[in-house]
Amino acid sequence: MEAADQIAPPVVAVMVVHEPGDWFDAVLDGLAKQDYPNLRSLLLVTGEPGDLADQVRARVPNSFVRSVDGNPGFGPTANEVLRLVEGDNGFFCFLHDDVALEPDAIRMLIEELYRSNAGIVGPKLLEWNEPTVLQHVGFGVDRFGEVDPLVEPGETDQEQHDAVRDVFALPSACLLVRADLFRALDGFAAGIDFHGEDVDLCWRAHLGGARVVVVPSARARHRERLVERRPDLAHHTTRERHRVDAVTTLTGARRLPLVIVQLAVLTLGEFVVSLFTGQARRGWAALRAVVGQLANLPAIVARRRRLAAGRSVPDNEVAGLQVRGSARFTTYLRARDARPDQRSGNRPWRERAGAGSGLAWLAIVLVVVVGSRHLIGSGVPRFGEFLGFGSSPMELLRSYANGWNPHGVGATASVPVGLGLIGLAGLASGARMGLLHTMSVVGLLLVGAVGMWRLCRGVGSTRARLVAAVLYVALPLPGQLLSMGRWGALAVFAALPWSIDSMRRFAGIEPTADDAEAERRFPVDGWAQWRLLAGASLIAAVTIAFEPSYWLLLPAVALVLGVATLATGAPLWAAARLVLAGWAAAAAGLLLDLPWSTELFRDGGWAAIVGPPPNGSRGRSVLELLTFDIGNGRAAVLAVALYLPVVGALLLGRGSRFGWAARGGVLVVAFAWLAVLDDRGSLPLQLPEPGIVLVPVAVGLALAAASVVAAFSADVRGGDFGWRQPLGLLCGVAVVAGMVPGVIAVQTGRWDMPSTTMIDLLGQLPEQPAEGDYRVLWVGDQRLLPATGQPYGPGVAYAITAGSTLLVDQTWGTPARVGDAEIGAALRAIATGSTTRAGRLLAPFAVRYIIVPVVDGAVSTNAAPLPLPAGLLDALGDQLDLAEAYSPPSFVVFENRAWLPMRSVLTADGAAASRTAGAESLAQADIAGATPIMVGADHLAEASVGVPAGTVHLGVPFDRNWTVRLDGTSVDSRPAFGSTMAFDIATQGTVTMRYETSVVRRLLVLVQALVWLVVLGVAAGVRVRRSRGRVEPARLAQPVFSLDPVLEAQS
Amino acid sequence: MKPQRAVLAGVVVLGLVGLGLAARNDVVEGDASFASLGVPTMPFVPTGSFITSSWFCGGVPAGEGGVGGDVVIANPSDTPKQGRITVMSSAEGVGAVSRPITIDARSVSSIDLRTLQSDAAFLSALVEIEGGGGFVEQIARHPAGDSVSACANAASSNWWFADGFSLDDSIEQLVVTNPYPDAAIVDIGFVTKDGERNPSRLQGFPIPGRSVRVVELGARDEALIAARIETTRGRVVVARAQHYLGGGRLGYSLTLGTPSLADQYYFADGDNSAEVAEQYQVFNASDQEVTVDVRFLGTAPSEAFLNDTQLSVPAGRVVTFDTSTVDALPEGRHGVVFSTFSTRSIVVERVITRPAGSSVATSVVMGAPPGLANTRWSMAIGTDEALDEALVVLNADSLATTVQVSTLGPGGLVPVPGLEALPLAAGGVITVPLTDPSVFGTALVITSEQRLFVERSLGRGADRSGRSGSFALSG
Repeated sequence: MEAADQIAPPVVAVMVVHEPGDWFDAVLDGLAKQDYPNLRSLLLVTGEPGDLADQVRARVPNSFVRSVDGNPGFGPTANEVLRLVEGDNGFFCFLHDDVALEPDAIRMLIEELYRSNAGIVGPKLLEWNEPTVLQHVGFGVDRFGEVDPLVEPGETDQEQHDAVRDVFALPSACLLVRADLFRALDGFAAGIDFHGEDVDLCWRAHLGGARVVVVPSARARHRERLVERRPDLAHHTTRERHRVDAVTTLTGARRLPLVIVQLAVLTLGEFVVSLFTGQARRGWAALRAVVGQLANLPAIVARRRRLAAGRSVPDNEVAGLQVRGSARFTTYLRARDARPDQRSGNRPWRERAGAGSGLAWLAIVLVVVVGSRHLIGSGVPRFGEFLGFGSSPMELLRSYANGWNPHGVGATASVPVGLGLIGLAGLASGARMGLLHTMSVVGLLLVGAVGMWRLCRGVGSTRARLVAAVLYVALPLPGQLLSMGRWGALAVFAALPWSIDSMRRFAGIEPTADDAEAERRFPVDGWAQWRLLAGASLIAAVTIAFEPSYWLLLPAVALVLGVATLATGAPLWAAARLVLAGWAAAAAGLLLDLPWSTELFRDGGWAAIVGPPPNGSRGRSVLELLTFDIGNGRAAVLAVALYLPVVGALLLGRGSRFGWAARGGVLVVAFAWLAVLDDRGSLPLQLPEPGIVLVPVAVGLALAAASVVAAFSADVRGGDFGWRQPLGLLCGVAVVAGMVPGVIAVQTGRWDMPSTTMIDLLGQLPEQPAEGDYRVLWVGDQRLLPATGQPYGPGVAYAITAGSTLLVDQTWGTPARVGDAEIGAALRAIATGSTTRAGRLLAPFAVRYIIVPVVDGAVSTNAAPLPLPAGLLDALGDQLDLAEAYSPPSFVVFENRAWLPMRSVLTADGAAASRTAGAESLAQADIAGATPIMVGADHLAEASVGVPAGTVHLGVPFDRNWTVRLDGTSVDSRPAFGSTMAFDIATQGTVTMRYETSVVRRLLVLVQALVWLVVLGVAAGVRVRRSRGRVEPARLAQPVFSLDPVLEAQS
Repeated sequence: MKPQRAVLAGVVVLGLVGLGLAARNDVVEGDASFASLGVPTMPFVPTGSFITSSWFCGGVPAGEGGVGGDVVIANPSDTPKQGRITVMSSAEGVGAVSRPITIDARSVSSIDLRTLQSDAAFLSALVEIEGGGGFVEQIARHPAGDSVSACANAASSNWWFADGFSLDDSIEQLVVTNPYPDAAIVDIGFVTKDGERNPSRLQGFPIPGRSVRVVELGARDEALIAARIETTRGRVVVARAQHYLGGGRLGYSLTLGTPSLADQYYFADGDNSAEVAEQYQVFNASDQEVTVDVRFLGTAPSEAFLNDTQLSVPAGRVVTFDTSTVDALPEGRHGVVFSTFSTRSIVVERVITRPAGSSVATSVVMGAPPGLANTRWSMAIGTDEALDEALVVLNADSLATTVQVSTLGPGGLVPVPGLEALPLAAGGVITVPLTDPSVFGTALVITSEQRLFVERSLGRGADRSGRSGSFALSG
C-alpha cells in the first residue's frame, strides 16, 4: 500500500458540508471506503458545526475538518482548497455533502482522466434512494447557458449511458479536476454561491482547452435536495442570474452580440409563456437576470478581461461543444425539463403546464376578465378615485418634474410620486393610457391574488395557496371597492400580501416538510436581507405613492403579525424581524417618495392621509364591516361564513399551518376591531376609510382559509376520526360559501360600477372657451366630491379643479395651502351670509363654476341620493354673482359671473382693485370683464401673446417662480387682490409667461430617480460587482497539506 | 393542546364574539351641513361681522304724477361706510344702474331712486354696504299717501301675502325684483273667497336678471286676495303695492311680503275704536286646516272679554278676522298675537283703516314672527314732523320694563328728551310721541330691557292726513 501511495498521484477529496442530516454517515462511509491509495479528505464545514468534526473523524480517520465562517456557498467555500492545499501535482475531487461514492469511484475517475487526458471528470450520479435510476451523466449546455440533463427524469440505468464521453459540464456534486487546472482557472467562480458554479467552471475549462468527460464506470448516489434544505434561498433567481452571467462573460466577443440578442428574445418569449404555464417565477427570474446585466456591465467587462488570457481555444470550437438551439425549448418539447429542480418536488414544464395550479390561475384570470368584461370593452368609468390618466405619459412626467403642483389653486410644491409612476407606466404601455387605466384598476385584483399566492407559500400547500388566492379575489371587499371607485384601497388590497410576504421572508419564515410540530425559520442575512428590504420598500413606496395611509397601515400590520408570531411560541428575533421589516419598509417607502411625502407631515397632513373626517360615525353596522358590505356589491353577508375557518385553522393546523392561522386570526380580530371602533368614532385618531382598514382582515381571512385547507391535508386527513374531520369539512364549506359574493359580483361584468357617472356629464362645461381658462369649485358632501379636497365642515368638503376635465392628479390629497385657505374663507363667507358677493372673492382664482355634486352613481345614486348638505344651495343661491345654470340631476351648477380668466388683462377698474387687498374691498370691486389671454396654456410650457399696456393677471397664489417677460425684458410681479399675481405691462408688446422650475427641484427629481433605480436594482437582485474574484468568503489561514511530494516531505 | 394554541384560539374567539356583542342597531350617520342660515324672515338688523351686507328693497313707484321713492340708509357706526347702490327698473330693456355711495358716520343718507333711473313704473334698489353695519329702509311716495317699509336682508324663493284688495277698482300689484344676473322664473298663484287660482299666464313667469316686473293678478272686485309667489329658478324680492280707491279702503300701501310661513305673528298697533276698522287677514298656506288662537295683548281681561278667540282656517284659504266682532274688546290700543300649533303654516296681515281728516286712510302691515322680538329696534325712516302716537311699542315679555328712544345724531345715539325711560307693563302696549325736534329726519333706535315689538305710525306725506303703519327693524 505504501508503494501504491507513492505511485498514485495524490487526490484531495474536498467536501463542503452544511448542517447535514442523518444521511451523512453513508456519505462519510463512501469516502472512507475509497480504494484509491493516495486519497486525502478535506471537509469544509459551514454553518453550525456542532460535533461534526468528531463524527467525521470517527468515520474518516485521516480527514481534515475545517470550519468556514458563515455560509458563502458551495463554490466560494470549495475554493478554500486553493489556499489550504499547496502544490499542483494532484487532483481535487469536489463533493457535495449528500453524495455517497462507490468504493472505486475516485480510482475509476483518475484512471479515465489519465486515459482520456481530460481536465475534469465526473461519475455517473444515481438517485440516492433508487440507485437504479439515473440522475446525471454530465450536462449538455447550449449557448444560453441552459442545461440539457441528457437523461430523462426517472430514467432507469440500463447501462445505456455507460460509454465514456465528452460532455460540456459536470455537476458539482462530484467532479474531479486536475489541481493545476483548477488553480489556473482560479477555482469556482467566486461570485457564484449556489447554482451554476459547475457549468461556469467547465465552460472555462473548455476555453482553456481542457476536456470534460463523464466516467459512467464511476458511480455515486446523490440526494440533491438543496431547495428543501435551503428554502430561504431564491433558487430561481440565483440560477438564472448565474446562467446569464456565464453567458455574458464566457461567450466569445464575436458571438456575444448575437447571443445577447437571441437571449433577450428567448427570455422575453419564455417570460410570456411562463405566465401561462405556472412558471411565472422562473420566467420572471430569467427576465430579471437578463435586464440585470445592464447594471453589471463593469463587472462583466472586468471578468472578460481577466479570462481573456486563459482563452486558448477558439470560441467557435467551444460553441461546437454546446447543444445546438435552445436546450430549454427542445427539452420542453421533449417533455423534460432542462434540469431537474434538485428534488424540489417541482415537475417538468409540460407536466406543470396542465396541472391544477395552472388551471386554477387560468380560472382566476377568467373570473377577473369575465367580471370586468364591460370595463375591458369600454373602459373603467370615471368616478370616485378612478379618474382618467390623460392622453400623454410624457405630460405626466413633465408635470412631475416641473415643480408646480396644480392641485387646487396651485403652488410650488411636490407633485405626487404616483403621477410620475403613472407616467412611467404610460411610457411602458406605449402611451395606451386608456388600457393602462383599465389595467390599473382591474389588474389590481390579479396583483393581489398573485401576492396572496406568494404569501401563502409560507403555508406550504399548493392547494392551500390556490384557495387563498381565489378567496382573496372572491371576497366581497375587492368588488365593493371597485363598485365605489376606491383606487387607493384597491392598491392596498393588491400590495399588502406582497408586503407581508417580504416581511415573512425577511423573518425567515419558510415552510418545510418536517414542521409538523413547530414552524421552522431560516434567518436570512447579508445581501439577501437587503434585497428583501429593498423589495419591501419598493412595494411600500409605490403603494404609499397612491395611498398615503399605507405608511401607517403597514407598520400596524407588521406589529400585529409580530405579536401573533410571538404568541405562537416563535423566538423573539423572528417576531422582531417581522416587525422590523414592516417598519423599515414603511419608512423607506416614505423616503423613496420624498419630497412629496413631506407634504403628509404638514398641518392638515393627517386629513390628506386618512381623508376628511367623517360626519359623526361612519354609520356602518358591525355586520356590514365584517362582511365588507361597504359598497354596492350584493350578497356580501355570506362572507360571514369565512370567520369559521379563522377559528378552525387555529384548532386544526400544526407547524407552519398553525403559525399562519395565528397570524391570520390575529390580523382579522385586530383590524376588524379597529374598523368597528373607527366607525363609531371611538378612537382618538381618525383612521383611513374602512375599505383600507379592512384589507388586513381580508388577508387574515384568506390566510386562515389557506391554513385550514393545508391543515386538512397535512394534519387532519388520515388521522383518527374525531372532531377535527367534521370541523375541517365545515370550514371547507364555509370557505366555499364565502366565495359566493365574488361569483355574484362577476355577473354584472362591471363590478356594480355605475354606467353613467357625474364626471361623464361634465362635458356640458366649456372646454378651452374663448372666455378664458377657468376653474371649478366643487363643494358638497365629502363622499361625492370627484376630487380630493379640503374639509370644510361636518361632512362637507370642497375641491378646486381646472376646466371641464378631471384627471387622476385630483385624487391625491394635500394639506391646505394659502390659496385653499382663501377659497375656504370665501365659502365661510357664503355659509355665514357675511357677503352676497362671494363670487368676487373667488374670481381672482378663476373660479367660474361652483358645482354641488348630487349623484355620483356610487355613494349616491338616482335611486337613493344622499341629502345635500344643509343650507348649501340656499347659501349659494343668496350670492348675487352666482347664477344657477341648467344642469343634469347629478349636480347643481352655479356660474360665477364675476370670474376672472386664469390669464387675463384686467380692466382699468380691475387693475385698480388688484392693488388692494382684503375681502371687503374685493367684494365691492366689479372686476369682471377682463380680457382672456393665453387660453389653453399651462405650467408646463411658456406661452406668449401680444397685449396692450395694462395689468396682466394670473390666477394663482403669488409665486416668484412665475415670470413674465415683455419683449424679452423681465416684468416684476406683484400680489393682486392680496393673493394672486399681477404684472404691470408698461407698453404694448408681446408678453411671455412661464413657470421656472427651480434647480433644486430638478436635482431632487434626478436624485430620486437614481435612488429608485438603485433600490430597484437591489430588489431585483442586481449586484454591481467590481470583480468576481474579489469575494473572499473563507477565512482559513494556514495550508493543511501539499500535493507536492517535496513540500509534503518538508511539512 | 399546546398552550399557545389555546391562548390564541381563545383570543381570536373572544375577539370575534366581542365584535358580535358590539353589534348595534342604532346606526347613526350625521347629516352633512354647510350653513345654518335659518328660515328667511322679515327684515332685521343683522349683528356680527360682515364682508358686505346687502339690503334688497321691495321697490317704489316711479314715473310721473307725484310718485317716487327714496332709499334711506342709516349708519350708526363711528366710521363712514362705503357701499354701492344698484337701482333696477321695471322698464323693458333698461339695465340696472350701479353707483358707489358713502354714508357718513352717525348719519342717515337718503337717495331718491329717480335720480338714478327714470321712465319706469317701479324702481327697486339693492344696497350693499362694505363691512356690514347700517340698515336700510325705503319710502314709497304716492299721491294717495307715502308708505314706509324695510328692505329685505335677502332674496327668497318664496313669498306670501295674506291681504289683497281690488274692490271698486282698487289697484293691486305685485312688484317682483330679481337682483341676480340671470332671469328668475316665478309661479304666482292667489286665493280669493272662491278658492285658489293659478292663472297660466302667471306660471313660469320670467323676471329678467337685475330688473323689476310688476304683476297684475287679474282678480277684480275682490275683497280678499292672498298671494303666493314661488320661484322655480332664481330668487326674487316681492312687494305688494295697493292703491285703495273704495270699498272701505283708501290710500296707498307698499308692503314687503314675507319670505316664510310661521306659526305665530305679533302686531303692536291694534286700535279698537268706533272710527277705526281693524281687520286681520289670516292665510293658511299649508295643505291642512289650522286652528289659530287670537290673543289680545295690553288689554285688561274682564268677565265679559274672555280673550279666547279661535279661528279655523281651511287649507289654502284666507279668513278675515275683524276685531269688531270680538265681544267686549276694550277700547283703545292693543297688541295681538296669532298662534297656531301647526308649524310654518300661516301668514297674517293687519289692515287698519283710520280716519284721515275727512276721509280715511288704510294701512296694511305684515305681522312680525316671534323670532324678531328684540330689546332693540331701529328705523332709518322716522318723522319729519311732530307726531303723537308715532311709535307703538309692545312688551313681548312677562316683565314690566322701561323703553328708551334714542336719535342718531353727530354724537351718536342720544336719548330723546322725555323718552329716556318710558314705563311699559308686562305684555303691555304704549304709544310714543315723536315731537322733539331732535328726532326729525334722522334714524331712531328704541331699546329696552325686555323684548319688544315696535311699530311706527307715520304720517303719509306732506299735506296728507292719516297715518301709515309699518314695523321698525328688529335689532
